[in-house]
Amino acid sequence: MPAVSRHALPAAIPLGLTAAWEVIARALGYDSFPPPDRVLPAFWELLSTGALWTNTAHTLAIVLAAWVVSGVTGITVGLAIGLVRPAWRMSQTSIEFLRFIPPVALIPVVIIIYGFSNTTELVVAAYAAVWPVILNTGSGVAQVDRRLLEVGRLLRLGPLDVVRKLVLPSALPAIAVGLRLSLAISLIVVVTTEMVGVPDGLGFQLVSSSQALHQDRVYAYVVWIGNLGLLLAVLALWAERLVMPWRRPVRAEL
Amino acid sequence: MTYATANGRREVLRELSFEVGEGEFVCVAGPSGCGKTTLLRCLSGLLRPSGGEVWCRDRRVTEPPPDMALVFQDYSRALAPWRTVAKNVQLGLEGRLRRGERSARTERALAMVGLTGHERDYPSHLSGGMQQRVQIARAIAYEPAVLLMDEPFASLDALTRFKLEDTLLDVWAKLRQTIVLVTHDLDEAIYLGDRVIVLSAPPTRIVADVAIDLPRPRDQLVTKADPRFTLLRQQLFERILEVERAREADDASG
Repeated sequence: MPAVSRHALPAAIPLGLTAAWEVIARALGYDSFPPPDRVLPAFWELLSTGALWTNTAHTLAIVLAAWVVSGVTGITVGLAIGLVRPAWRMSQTSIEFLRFIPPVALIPVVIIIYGFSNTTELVVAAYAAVWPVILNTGSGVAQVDRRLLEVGRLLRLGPLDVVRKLVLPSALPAIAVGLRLSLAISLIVVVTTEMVGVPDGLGFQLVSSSQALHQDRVYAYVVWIGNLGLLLAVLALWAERLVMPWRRPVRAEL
Repeated sequence: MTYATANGRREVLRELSFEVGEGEFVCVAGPSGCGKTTLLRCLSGLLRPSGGEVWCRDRRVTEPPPDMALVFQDYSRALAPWRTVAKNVQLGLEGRLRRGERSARTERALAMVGLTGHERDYPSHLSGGMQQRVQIARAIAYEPAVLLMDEPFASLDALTRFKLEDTLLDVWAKLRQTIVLVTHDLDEAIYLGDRVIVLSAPPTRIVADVAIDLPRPRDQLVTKADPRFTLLRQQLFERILEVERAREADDASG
């Protein structure tokens, strides 16, 4: 595919949607639904006062921390339940119960324990983000090819080497999917927690702007958060390719 | 050897007893479903027989012994896709040999199977025949006294199969391991082996055990055109048909 269309194609839909937004918002003329050309100045204003950067730094730092915590916990637990059949069966009911508790429902409870703090944001987000890592790691580990495990037995690898050299790498694609989901959930839940509980970061700014009837700022924040998510997703995909070079297709030399 | 299946116990191997001399190349041939693979899994220590014993150099085999290697038919499942060719070959050597000796052995093994220059390729970027060469190189690098091979060339096209058969004969001429190779192909068995053991359909017994006195080095064209080759093939086929007819007669009368 030529380079131009490779970059132009993914950009086509966002550009089209923005244009449609402009047209519809102008036609409607509601104060509560500003068109992009009113949102953009609001965005520049937020940018120039530096408010956007400090809030973004706050939110992103907690998103990444929650992602790391849920990643490490999720891989460890997933590995355990994937390797030990009885552990899987024992924990299945609890996992299915716990992962369907809406994270928002936890916010008041965690606030009582940790107050309006970064820790509260971190705990709620990490709780929400851990489940896809656990489940994907667990099934990835359980689905290791039996032939490969036999190869390990024949080459007399110790149990630690079997896990390190055969089980974990073959579960890596599944773990990567879990980690990507977990990153998206972290962002969503941190922002939500800031909106309804902890008065800090992008989520809180979004709500305050709304309460101050600054609809242009609300939209600026929403679009900004969406773009942060996009950036994180792109970085995650790029990291995935870096970590798993064997999944890259061979490029024909022309 | 009896398996417990959903429909009760199924006897796969019955009264199978044979010895293989040091450095001998034995081919075990039989119809599909006759338990050739089961036999090899018992020999390798991957499977504990329900009756009978396997001995290897004065030691009873209950686990895969350190001086034995096994080459599987399904090379794509037996290789680790995230390891390069060289790393796949080294899998059994890591932590046992120093780096220098490890790479020297890897280099030698890859040269023997004709894969020099492919050290850094990933298996998925190689053809089926080359992937099988990697598996053979891994077995050679392990420097086993006994090499077991489970239909190693069955899923390759005819030309690739002939080339790999000759590669194997070259390797064996240099290293003189004891080889037990299982195949459904009588021609292949006669072409490769010092001795061919023919199995019946289950419950499996040995129906023929003949020495192959064809001269070495063997050649795909010359050896297979040798009247002695044709005669051996005819005799073995007749023996198989004879056993089948006897069994059918038995079934009809009993």
